[in-house]
Formats: sequence, structure tokens, C-alpha cells
Amino acid sequence: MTRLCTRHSPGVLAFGLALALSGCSGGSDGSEREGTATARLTYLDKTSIPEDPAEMVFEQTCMSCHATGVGPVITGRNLPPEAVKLFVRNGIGAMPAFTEAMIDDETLDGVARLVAESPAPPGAPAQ
Amino acid sequence: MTDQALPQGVTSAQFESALGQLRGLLGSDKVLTSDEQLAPYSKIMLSTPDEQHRPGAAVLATTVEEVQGVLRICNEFRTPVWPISTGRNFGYGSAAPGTRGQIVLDLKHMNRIIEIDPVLCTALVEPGVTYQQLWNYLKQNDIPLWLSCPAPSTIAGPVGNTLDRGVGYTPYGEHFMMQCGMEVVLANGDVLRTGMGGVENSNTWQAFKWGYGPYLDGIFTQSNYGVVTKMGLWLMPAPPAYKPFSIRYESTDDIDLIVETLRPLRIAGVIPNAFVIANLMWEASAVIPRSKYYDGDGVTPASALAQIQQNEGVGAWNVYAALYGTPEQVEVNWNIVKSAVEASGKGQLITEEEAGDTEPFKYRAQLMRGDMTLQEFGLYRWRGGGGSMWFAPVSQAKGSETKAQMELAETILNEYGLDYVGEFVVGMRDMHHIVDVLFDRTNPEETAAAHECFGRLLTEFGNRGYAVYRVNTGFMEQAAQLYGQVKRNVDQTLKRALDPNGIIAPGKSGINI
Repeated sequence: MTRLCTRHSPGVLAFGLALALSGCSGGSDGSEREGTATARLTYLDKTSIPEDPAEMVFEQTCMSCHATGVGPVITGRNLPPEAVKLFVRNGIGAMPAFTEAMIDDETLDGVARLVAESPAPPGAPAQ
Repeated sequence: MTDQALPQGVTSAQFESALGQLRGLLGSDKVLTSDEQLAPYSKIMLSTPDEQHRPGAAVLATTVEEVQGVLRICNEFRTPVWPISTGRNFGYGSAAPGTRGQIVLDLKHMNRIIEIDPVLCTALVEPGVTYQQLWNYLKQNDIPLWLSCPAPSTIAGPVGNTLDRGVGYTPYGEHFMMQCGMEVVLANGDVLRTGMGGVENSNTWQAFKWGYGPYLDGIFTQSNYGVVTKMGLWLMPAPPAYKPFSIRYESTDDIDLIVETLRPLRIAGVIPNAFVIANLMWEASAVIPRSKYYDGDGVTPASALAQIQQNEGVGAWNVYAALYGTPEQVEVNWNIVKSAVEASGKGQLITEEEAGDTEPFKYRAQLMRGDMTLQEFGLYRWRGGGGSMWFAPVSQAKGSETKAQMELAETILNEYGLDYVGEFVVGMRDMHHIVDVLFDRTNPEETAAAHECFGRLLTEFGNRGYAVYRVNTGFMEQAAQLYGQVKRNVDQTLKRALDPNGIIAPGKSGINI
């Protein structure tokens, strides 16, 4: 039985990345897929979960829409950090707003910096 | 600063006194009142005006004791509170309260994953835990359990979704059925543990749902009788084999045949998951905006839909289902599915190998194994403008019924210049008929049309004996009326007994003192 306590969200799950990076074989009928204890962990083409809170928000929240064609491309556009923070806190159109309880100010500073400094992904979906 | 939003019947002095006490309890930094602080709690996607849902304040509680304290103060000053976990209900509502001036009780900081039992496959979590947080924990610790999550997986959480009786797409997709044990802070400060949770030294709180005597968990869902501060849920052991598949149908009239073909497989457990039947526009929205084929106003023309169907490789209806188990079990069930589809004479089966890495198959396969994806929110760029209200009537899982509901919804929506963007989520005996009423919220005329349309949908469906299983915070009263006066009387009796001052989320599900 596992007992644990995480009071801070979302990026301080400071557990070791004890990942088994093998066993992702597919059966000839395609029925054998990931899901066992030895499954390979991938998320948006990453092979690990970021430990840094800002990177985690950037990868697991922002990029879930903004790297998949759901929302506009935001990387590689030199978006001013202050504008990014304004959008995050207020939302715009269908983009939800994020409270400080969800993304604290310090983490949001890091997220805005990551957005501002990130290069555009090759072949990013158009608007 | 915008004028202070006050709850109905509460004076400014009364409200300020309550805030002063709350600051003393929680600290000033946990009592949010400025426009800037309240902005993210105020954003809505509904057709109702922003001002109707503007909170008076938001407070952040981190412990059960703080929740008790907040309720004590709110009772003293008769100031209503609107509890939220993550506030990610989108077209059913966001963090904003049902009525103006309520104090949002934000439980996001109560985000402990208290216990995971990999043997019994159970979890005990607080309201602020997101599916992403839980998913990360399971992966980081190599715990071979799967989640069942709704489409806003990454940013939503199991407590809020379950309490709103939301659904996911795995065999555990009926989330309230897979919930086991709650801790609830009542308006009088008592802390109730449901099921086996009240038994001293019990270790079966997350193992056995019913406990002894009246089963209470249900009255704390879609209600305002208490504040849930812990919830148990069952998780699905990762199966050794997983086979997602799609079935594409070419005519909208095929919905009757689809349901008649697949219902027996769902009831018999051959297809064990809450599979979906998505229409063309729902399917297409995951990959394109409608402006690619139609850039005008109003209903998407049939000619554009025909082009989309032809060019984008989507069906008029698109089934997404999956098989789970050992490779041998999956092979047997796959043959049963293939035989049933072939015998029906319609439907093109598509496997994961045939779909490759393409959307929307990819995200559907992710959802059916409880992985994190927000791809479904391509829905919101279909028309643009940020307006969305989920219209979700329950239907029998019979082809004739689903066809009748589809036709009725499409007729009414089209009268208001809106598209029928719909899917059916297949329950144990029912279908959750989910229609995303999409509109441009920046366009006042279109917003007004969407508002009138939504009310009309509720009325016309109600006239035929159909009612929604869930509704957005702008239409709770109208939806409650569909369920009859006796039900409303019982709801109110419970409210008066458990929260005599009516301070917890007044108006939720149409329930007031």
C-alpha cells in the first residue's frame, strides 16, 4: 500500500522517475499495447515527466492544446511574458482562465519565460 | 475596481464582516477580492451574462478544519459559498458560481493523493487532485493502474467530475459507480464519512460502497448538502492487451442500426467500455475548423458537410470502442464484434494499425485507456468565439430513440442557426446524448439565439419525456423542473435539514431552502 502526501500543485511530485523504459512491443494483431507495469512512458513525445513546475505546466497543460492544433501556436512567436500571463489568468475565447491556486505566480513566471523563449516546433499545425 | 458583487439579500456590511472573519481564519492572502484575483473565477462559456455569475470573493481552504471554519463564518453572516475542486466543467460551468455574489470556496490547494492501494486498485484523494497529477503519480511509481477521465482530463479532477456524475471512456467510465467512500463537511461543521468510513479502525472505506443503512453518497452528488473533502475511487488494473477500434458509417440515418448492432455487445460485456458514437462535425472538429470548408454564418451547409466527409476521412457517424483483457480474450471478442458489424451490412471497421498516428483516432484511443489529452477541445475552434453549453439528454439505448433525439435536436438547433454537434456515450442501458451547443460568445445576437435555443431544447425534449442528466449553471432551475415537484420537495426537505441557512451553493441543481 502506498501512502503519500502532496500539498503543492502541480509540479512538486518530487518522486524519482523510476520508469521502466522497455516492453512496448506490439503484437502482430495490434492487441498488445502499453498498459503493463513495464510500459514505456511517453507524453507528447517526451519520455519523462518534467520535475520543474513550470516545465510541467508548459508540457502537460499549455502544449496539450497549443502543440496539437487545438489552440494557436504560441512558441516561436516572441510573445511577451506579460501577455502570456495575462492570457493565462484571464483566458481568451475558449481558452480557460487559470487561477493562482492552479498555477502560482512563480510558476507562471517560468511558464511565460518558456513560452517566450521556445522555438516554434517544426511542422507545427497551422491555425 | 468593479462594484462589489453581493449575494442576494446580503448587505455590504454583512459581507465585509464575513470577509474580515475569513481573513482571520485563512490569512489575507487566501481571501481574494480584487478584480485581478477574481478574473479567473469569473470566466464562463455560457449564454448567460458574466455579471450573473460574478463571485463576491474567492477563498482558499487547505484543510478540513479550514473548510469547517469557512462554513461556520458563512453561517454566522449568511453569506453563501460555492465550492469548487478544479472548476473545469467547461460547457457545464466553470469556477464561477451559479448566482452572483457567492463566495467561491476553492479547494484546489487540498490536493493530496492520500492513498493508492495497488492490490485492491483503489485511491483516496482530495478535491484539488487533477487527473494529470494522479496519472503522473501512477507513472512515476510504476503502478499499473489506469484512470478513467473525461475529455478535459489534464486539468479536471476525479472529485469534481464524479460529484457532477460525469463520465469517462474506459470500462470504469461511469465514474459515480466507481466511487467508494466520501468525507463530507456538513453545514453545521460535522464531518461525515460515508459507507464504511464511520466505522472505527475500518480498513474497508475504499473497498465497500454501501456501508449500513441508507446509502448517502448519492445525495452529495449534483447537490449542495455538504462540501466533499475526500473521495475514494476504484482504478482499473492495466490489462495485458488493449485494442481500440473505430467503425465508420456513411449516413446520419445509420444511428438506428448502429445502436441496434452494438447495444447487445455492450450489455453482454463484449465491449466493456463507455464507447461513443460521434457525428461528423464532432469528429471533424478534432482536426479542422469549419472555416476550412465554410466561412459563413449560421448552420454549416450540407454541401460543406459532404465535402468534409469526402475529403477528411470522417464518417457521418464514428464509433470508438475498445477491447480489454488477455490477448486471447481480446481476440475472441474482436471476432464477435467483427461478426456483428459484418452481419449488419454496414460499417467500416478501422483498427489502430490502420488508423496509424492520425487524429481523431489517436486521442480517442488515449481517452479509452484513461490517458491525458485535450484534443477533443478542437470542438471549441469549430465555430470559434468561446461559447459552449452541453445539452445532455438521456436516451434509452434503442436505435429508434436515438434517431428521434438526434432529429429533434438538429431541428431545434438549426432553427437558431446553430449546428448539431453531437455524440452518444453508451452507458449500461442508456445513452448519454451529448450535444455541444457552440456559439460565438463575442456576438450578442448569436449568444442570445443560443440562450433561447438551449431553453427551447430543454422544453421540447421535456415535452417528450426526455431530460438532461446534467446541465450548465445557467439552466439549473429549468432542468430541475423537468424532474417533477415531488422530487423537488424532497430535495428541498433535505436542504433545509442539512443546511438550514442555505449557505452552501444555493441554486445548485435548482435546490434552495
